[in-house]
Amino acid sequence: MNLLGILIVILITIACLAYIVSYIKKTFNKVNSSCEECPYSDACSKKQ
Amino acid sequence: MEIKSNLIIGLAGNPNVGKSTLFNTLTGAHQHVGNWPGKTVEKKHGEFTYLDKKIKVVDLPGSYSLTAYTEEETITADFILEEKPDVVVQIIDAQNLERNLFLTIQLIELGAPLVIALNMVDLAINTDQKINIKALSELLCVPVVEMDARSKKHLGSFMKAVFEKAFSDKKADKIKLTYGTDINDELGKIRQFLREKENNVTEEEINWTAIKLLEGDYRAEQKASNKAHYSELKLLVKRSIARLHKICNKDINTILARARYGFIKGLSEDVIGRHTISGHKKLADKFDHIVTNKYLGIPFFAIVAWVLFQTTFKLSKPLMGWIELLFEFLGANLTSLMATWNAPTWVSSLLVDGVIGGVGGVLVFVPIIGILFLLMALLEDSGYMARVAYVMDKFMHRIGLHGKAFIPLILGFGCNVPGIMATRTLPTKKDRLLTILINPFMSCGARLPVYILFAGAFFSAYQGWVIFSLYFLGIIVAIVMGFLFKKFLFKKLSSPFVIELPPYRWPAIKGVLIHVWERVWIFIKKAGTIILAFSIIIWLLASAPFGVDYGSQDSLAGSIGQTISPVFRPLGFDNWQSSVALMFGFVAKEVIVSTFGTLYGIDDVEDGEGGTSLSNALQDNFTPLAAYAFMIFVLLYAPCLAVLAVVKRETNSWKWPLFMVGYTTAVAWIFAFIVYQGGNLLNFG
Repeated sequence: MNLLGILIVILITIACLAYIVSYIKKTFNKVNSSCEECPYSDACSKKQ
Repeated sequence: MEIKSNLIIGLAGNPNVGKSTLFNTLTGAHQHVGNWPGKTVEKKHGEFTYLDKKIKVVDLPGSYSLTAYTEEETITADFILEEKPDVVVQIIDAQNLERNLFLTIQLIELGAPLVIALNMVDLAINTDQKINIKALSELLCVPVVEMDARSKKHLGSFMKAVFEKAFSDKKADKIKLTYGTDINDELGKIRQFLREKENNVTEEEINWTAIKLLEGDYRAEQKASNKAHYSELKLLVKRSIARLHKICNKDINTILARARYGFIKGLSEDVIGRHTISGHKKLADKFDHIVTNKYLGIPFFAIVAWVLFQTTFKLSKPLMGWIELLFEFLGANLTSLMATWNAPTWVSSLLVDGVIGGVGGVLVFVPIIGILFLLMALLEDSGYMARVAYVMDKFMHRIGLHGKAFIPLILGFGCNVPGIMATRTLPTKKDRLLTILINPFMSCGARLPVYILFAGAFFSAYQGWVIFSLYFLGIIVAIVMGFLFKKFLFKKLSSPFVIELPPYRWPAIKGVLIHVWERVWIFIKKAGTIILAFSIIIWLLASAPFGVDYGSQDSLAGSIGQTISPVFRPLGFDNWQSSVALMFGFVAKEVIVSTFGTLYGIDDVEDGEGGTSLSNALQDNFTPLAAYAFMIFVLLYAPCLAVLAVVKRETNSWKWPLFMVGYTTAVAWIFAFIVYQGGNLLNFG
């Protein structure tokens, strides 16, 4: 793997880790206002 | 008179009368509706425009009365008292008019600007009731309109009644309910006292406060306790209660309830015309005798569940095969395309092993998720699932659990998050906590792909039976754990509960399809987001450090897996791949399948016997007994992050989610151990 390849893999990894962290944060902070986690929530009906 | 440009409408009513359906019809929202009580556990807001007026609709939780016994009743009463909506629409199930009128009486007592929407009038024709709508409206002094909550058929007359109520004089004719001379006298004394002592309160508020104080409603007492004259008022109420008790020799709630039911009985006699019971009703009654029978009910449910799983597999198998072929085709072509372009090997590996292996491995299960949810939604909407709750209610009472707890458990089959939220319908904090703690044992949709993958690889001739046994085991473990918690952790639980049996009806196809699509879309979205992210991370862990063979035990993933795997050795699955899958599956259960897909790859073509390389890889690493123990572990071990988050929120503490992780994982380990070691002893290995 050349330097560019390593750089791309690092960037993809950072993006994935950032997404996973934000997913976990969102789950704990907004579990009741996210259609993804709970289609029965207040915000979900508002959004729809 | 002031003409407002915006209106607020509250939708109130008994559970399962069509509030959420009407809410969806009015606002175009897609709130989940079901043919059983207790779906809506908190207020939902929506908006729509009608004749240039912006109308805010609030869907209130179903409640039978406005006394502060349960959270639903408190939410409804607080909304009417504090937010003062322009109109409160009570949706009444025309088939059960008498029962619904108990709430009507209380809404009238509360002085709510009431409009009654009579729903399911067409179904009432199948019963022995024909309602005289005009007489009902005149006797209650409340507008009553016929409404079909599922369609916009009577929307014009409904909205006309709503507008007339919203812009009418609020002091127009109102019915005066009488409770008998003795109660009226005592109520009169309290009302008089409140009139003298309190300013800026309406006559309805005075009336409501007087009744609620006599009933011993804690919310009314709490409100009164902030006032300067509280001790005087308290003494007055205490004397009134004592006097009534002396005269009637009954407790005050019984006396008031009798007075209200007396009014309802008289009213019903005047407005309900009886005719002969229809063939539909007779048939429904006969069917109910079987499905709610104390001996036949549970076996019947078991047969229905078995048929449900068998049908799901039979219907989804060809569809799954096509999607599998599509991803195999994609994988093979991408590999050759990359080779043509002279792309580095790692790019090809990332796309084929990581992305297609992980995400594709999960998307294969879309048809089975869709079909299972479709069949479950049909059963739910038809009214059968409420019968299951009824049968289980009796059973759960017998072992000392709260019967109402079974409804949140059934909801847990879809997803444990709404299941846990539905525990709000339970009356006490201990009941709720207990039901929350056992809910994750109900096998949610996210665990299904794991079962299908393993059952397909190891028990292809008995797939339906194997998965049926896992769902059933989940129910049994939930009930056993509930019983143990009740015995050792939450002693002295309440409480009597009567579950109603909604009438059978044809499922609302549009609503069912919307619900199924929502579940499938959540699944697809997860595959494209969190599962994709995890697949790439797992690919990286399986590729690093440089120079190791992809997915070998020398890789980082291999090292992590080998560190954990001794824990699972007594359970029969100590291969490092399953340890990594279980570890990441803690975030979302679907990740277990995508991890196997990434680590083993699905890019190879099918073998001669129709199995895929993933199935073959699993067969190389598990014995059938170990595979079954693995499925049991997945069924019972720590719930996903979303469930823990909702438990944290509902219990307002970290203690219970952490306890849940610990005890469910321990239970999972013990059960998997018993099955694997027991199976080995019996030579099933």
